[in-house]
Amino acid sequence: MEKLSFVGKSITRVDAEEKVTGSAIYGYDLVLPDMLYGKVLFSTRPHAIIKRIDTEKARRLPGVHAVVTGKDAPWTHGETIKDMPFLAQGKVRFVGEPVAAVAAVDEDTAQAAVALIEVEYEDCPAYFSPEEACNPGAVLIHEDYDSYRKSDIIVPGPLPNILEHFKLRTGNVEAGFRESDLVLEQRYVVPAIGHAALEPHSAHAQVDPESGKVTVWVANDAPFRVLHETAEALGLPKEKIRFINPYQGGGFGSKGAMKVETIAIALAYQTNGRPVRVKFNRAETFVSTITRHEAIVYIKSGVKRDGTLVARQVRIYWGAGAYAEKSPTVCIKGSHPSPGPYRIPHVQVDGYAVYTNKPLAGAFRGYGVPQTAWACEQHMDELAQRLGMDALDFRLKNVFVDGDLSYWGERLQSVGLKETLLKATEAIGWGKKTGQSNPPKGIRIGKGFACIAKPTRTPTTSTAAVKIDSRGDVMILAGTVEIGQGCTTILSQIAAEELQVPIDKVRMHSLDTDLIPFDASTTSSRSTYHMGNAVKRAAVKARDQITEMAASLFDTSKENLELSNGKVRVKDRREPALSFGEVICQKLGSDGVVAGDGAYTFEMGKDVDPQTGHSEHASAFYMYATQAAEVAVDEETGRVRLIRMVAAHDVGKAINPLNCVAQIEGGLAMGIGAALHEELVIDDHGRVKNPSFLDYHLVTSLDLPKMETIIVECPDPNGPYGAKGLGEPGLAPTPAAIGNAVANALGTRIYELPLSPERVYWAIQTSKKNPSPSVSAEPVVSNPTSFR
Amino acid sequence: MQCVAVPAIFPGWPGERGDINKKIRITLNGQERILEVVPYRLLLDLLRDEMGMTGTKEGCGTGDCGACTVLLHGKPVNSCLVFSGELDGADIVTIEGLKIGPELHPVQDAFRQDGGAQCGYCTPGMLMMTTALLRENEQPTEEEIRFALSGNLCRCTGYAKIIQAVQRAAEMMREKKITEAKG
Amino acid sequence: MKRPEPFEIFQPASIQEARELHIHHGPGGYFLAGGTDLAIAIKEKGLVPRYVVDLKRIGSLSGIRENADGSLVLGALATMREVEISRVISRRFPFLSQSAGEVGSIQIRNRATIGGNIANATPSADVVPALLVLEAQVTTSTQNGEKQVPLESFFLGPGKTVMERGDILTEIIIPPASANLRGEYIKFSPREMMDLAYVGVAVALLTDGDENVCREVRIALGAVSPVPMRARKAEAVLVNRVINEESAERAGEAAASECTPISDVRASAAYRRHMVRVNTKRAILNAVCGRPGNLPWVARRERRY
Repeated sequence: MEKLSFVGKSITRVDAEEKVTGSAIYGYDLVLPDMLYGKVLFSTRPHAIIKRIDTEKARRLPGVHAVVTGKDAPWTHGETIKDMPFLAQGKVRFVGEPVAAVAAVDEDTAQAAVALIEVEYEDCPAYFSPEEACNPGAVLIHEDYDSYRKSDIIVPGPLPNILEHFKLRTGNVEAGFRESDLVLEQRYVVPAIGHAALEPHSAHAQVDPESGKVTVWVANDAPFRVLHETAEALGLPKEKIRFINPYQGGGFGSKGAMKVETIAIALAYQTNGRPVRVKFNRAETFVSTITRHEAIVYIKSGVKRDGTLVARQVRIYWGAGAYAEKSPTVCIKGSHPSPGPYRIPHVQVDGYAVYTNKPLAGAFRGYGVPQTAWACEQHMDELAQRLGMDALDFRLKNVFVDGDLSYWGERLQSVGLKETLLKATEAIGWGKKTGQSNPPKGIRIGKGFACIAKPTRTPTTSTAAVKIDSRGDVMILAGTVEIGQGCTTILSQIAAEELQVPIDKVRMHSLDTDLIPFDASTTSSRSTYHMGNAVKRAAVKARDQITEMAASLFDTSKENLELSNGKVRVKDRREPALSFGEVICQKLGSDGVVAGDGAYTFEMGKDVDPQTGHSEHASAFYMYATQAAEVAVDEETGRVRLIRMVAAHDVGKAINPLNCVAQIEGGLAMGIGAALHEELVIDDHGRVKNPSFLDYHLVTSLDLPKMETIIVECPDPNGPYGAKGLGEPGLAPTPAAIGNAVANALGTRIYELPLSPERVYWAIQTSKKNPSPSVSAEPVVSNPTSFR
Repeated sequence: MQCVAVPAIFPGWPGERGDINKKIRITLNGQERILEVVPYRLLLDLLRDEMGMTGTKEGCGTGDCGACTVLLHGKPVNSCLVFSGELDGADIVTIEGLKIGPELHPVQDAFRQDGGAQCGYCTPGMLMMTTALLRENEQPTEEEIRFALSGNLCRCTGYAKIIQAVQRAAEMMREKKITEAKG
Repeated sequence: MKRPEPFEIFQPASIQEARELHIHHGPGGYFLAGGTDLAIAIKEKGLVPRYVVDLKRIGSLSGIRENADGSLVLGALATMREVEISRVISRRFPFLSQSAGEVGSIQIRNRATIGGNIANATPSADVVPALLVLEAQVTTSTQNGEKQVPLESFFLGPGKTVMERGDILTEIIIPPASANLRGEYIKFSPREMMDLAYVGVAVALLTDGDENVCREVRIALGAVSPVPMRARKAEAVLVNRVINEESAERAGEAAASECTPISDVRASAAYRRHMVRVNTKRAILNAVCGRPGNLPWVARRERRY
């Protein structure tokens, strides 16, 4: 490969200076001239018919400009099922659902007006568990489900309240179980957690009374998708809608949906052109935006005595919350890889996304894979233990390698999984005595690891333009949102590489859908790969124009030119080089501009069929990772402390190694939080009991151990410079790795997250009382009930 | 990346609600200011909404995340829990006051170089806390850094790069001191 | 979250003036110390003060001083951070410094005051168990002059104290104590920082010679009863006995039996009771181990024996 000047280097983040000086403007910071302030009245009931809303008193309060309810905003939206009203219509389905909103001259007035709105409810039966909500005979949360507009990926379920049923069928699992020497079935539980981005949610909207154009300022991950969704909901052509993105203070999936946006738009229609700002505070952000799906996962596996996986059956109940949001696609993309990155001849998966009367669940970094990895990777350890095999040997025997035909029918290539397994386990000292071989009394040390494969949404499209002006300055126009992941830096590096200009000559324009070419979304770890390719192509096109012009200036052919440091010169000639700016000035004049465009779609890609679970190219690329943990468990208190974490990730090619490490470390921290602390606790009235940073426990700087990251580069044939994605896998295997380490330490396994001190404490107590074979540290190879 | 081109205006607060204003004299980022404030508003709102200084961030409003950290009389505090009405005579430093002339403060420069900022929303608070830490302790150990920053939540970084940045900042500041002493 | 209703903030320079303001303006007034609880009560809990009297300008309320007789006086407005890093406190009662250092974050501790924390009577207050085992007294300024009450009888229930409307907590007095007094505070919470205590245990004891025979012992518990409490049954188990794992365990069991924890979103009552047992044992053993020098923070918690 040619020597690279910018790619593969830990270039300093180009957005860092604005961020360290406090001058970066985030959605929450934005102030618009003449704006009004919105506040929202939220439902206090989990499932109820709205008998009456009286907004008269609120309307009469001085300073109030608009009061809206579902009646004033008769629109519904949704990514794949149009089931979500802008504001509740006739019914509420969770505590925290927006029922009415006020726009006023200041926040205090708006809040005071909200308090004057009267709502009368008639309660309906409510469900707080996905398994209960889909019991035969359960009351429907969406009576009109059948008549909703839906995308063609939607497969209705066989039982009440199931909004999507994903099926994967390969081989014959029943036959597979009969062939097996050992069959094991377990149930695993993952609770809902919060995205908890440090910046709470907010949106600003304005409707131009003359043209009817709707402008929304919001830090959203997917401005082009929400533009489309808004246009569909409002029945407007797309050009009548504009999304403008300020900086985003973290999202992790939460900011790709329409939540505050819909309320701001509904209000803006009533304010005669004055913009409206709606800000959610921390508690509202926890409850009324979105959460990560709770999941109940049943896995049944059949293995041969020698450790060969024969059959696996997975059944997953995804708690979707009150509205579909992204649940159908989470159900598909999360259920499809749920049997794990292994060669298994007989596979059956049934994923059910189920409505409940809880806060909505939607996209969260990892898109379902973290939940199923908690189940699958603990299950793998338990199988190994019962077989009397080493957990690493067991995985190495079954794990995907290059050229394997996966259970969904795809021939895999560029699989770096084995390397991540070997490197992570080596770094943690798997199979070796622990560093703390003499722990204090009552402290149990254990090690564990887990691996995953994460697909990306496929096929999707990114487009970009690269513009060079007569000063030689390069501007990237690309619809990737800087959510903190570092895309601005990565894309600048790619443009700088192709054009051979200094990195500080490259800038990326902020996102405005009226101006910037289309991008599917900043999700699914897709940006470096898709937008990276698009920017690369655009930069090449711009470069070609420069070299063509330079060739005529130098009176030579393009092939004789070489580029470096923003200049072009003729190889082996003494003639002085011309800067890009000079080339443009001489050929096009001092106002001249050169621009190239580029687009990328993984053409042959096709998402898995929700009826069969099959696709020959289900994902443009797969991200592979293994993480390993060493833990110390305090037997008397149940507290788990981490001694060390190791993460080995196959990134294809590290465009910016420092940034890769930073992404992985951040993922680890999030995964550690999910493993040990994080859970949105919902009581039996459907209320979130801990919607604050006091009681929803993000890890602090004192809660994290030494983290070692290992970058594995198994290049992707289609990725820019071989790169794959990286954003999501950082947290996916973490809880399972820690869970396996805790099981290794205690000799007892815990199937439910988080591994809070109290949960671990009771598990230890239970295992002391009845040391059952299923939780014994000794393999139970001869257990007749498990063996056939 | 460029900012969105939107003029920052001060929306102000309407007087018709019978608000009680109070005149206070403060030193804000080294400059003396006489302000008319609504006493029950919080320092965070005073900075962000009334003075248009949005560098100080709001993450929770309840003192649980540290994003709104500013220095009050040289000490880091959560500006979301300080009433404007108690500020007469106060010396306040915010992120906007950290730069030394056109130069980045070493703490800022270290965070920039070491990847201490990802989404950047916790960064101003982290920087103010770090500044306070390094004033008290020129050579903090990793443990001391973790202890000092434990009231500043970050959801992006896993704190590792932040801790590295603090160590580098400490080093840069010590070197600067030595050079200044020599010069 | 609620935005506050308009109110005025007064800043008197003396206790006298503060009391007069309060009398003059009548009901609905609140005293403001650090404000870390008051601001949250206004924003989150719907508290609507008519006016607020800020006590921070009253010089006599601040500072920490040691009297000639060895007693310590902590001004009510001494911040948690001042208590945490005070030389005299960390020399005399390191576990009291540590308990102050367990509150919130440095940012919070730079504002939160020891007097405010006591006056708010939160069951999970971290410094209170440490002060209880030091048999601290509380001085209040009332309309009938100054009053002194033992801290133990100061609390009446969550958020309730013996103070009446208009009373101002002025100082906390720690009586003279033996130089051989050893103590410990353990805050048990899921994270290393930023949490409320699920269980807090403070121990102070005096032992005879090298035998570790307990001559005198005081144990106090936080977050496991309506008000922070002394665990007298647990103390009785230890007096005149050799302190070892076995006796400490029995004292822990006694403490677990005499507390009355509740179940909430943070932990169940049963688990809290177990944690009282375990952490009382550990606090006792940690206390007799003495306080080794510069241990990393995480190791300073829970167990060192």
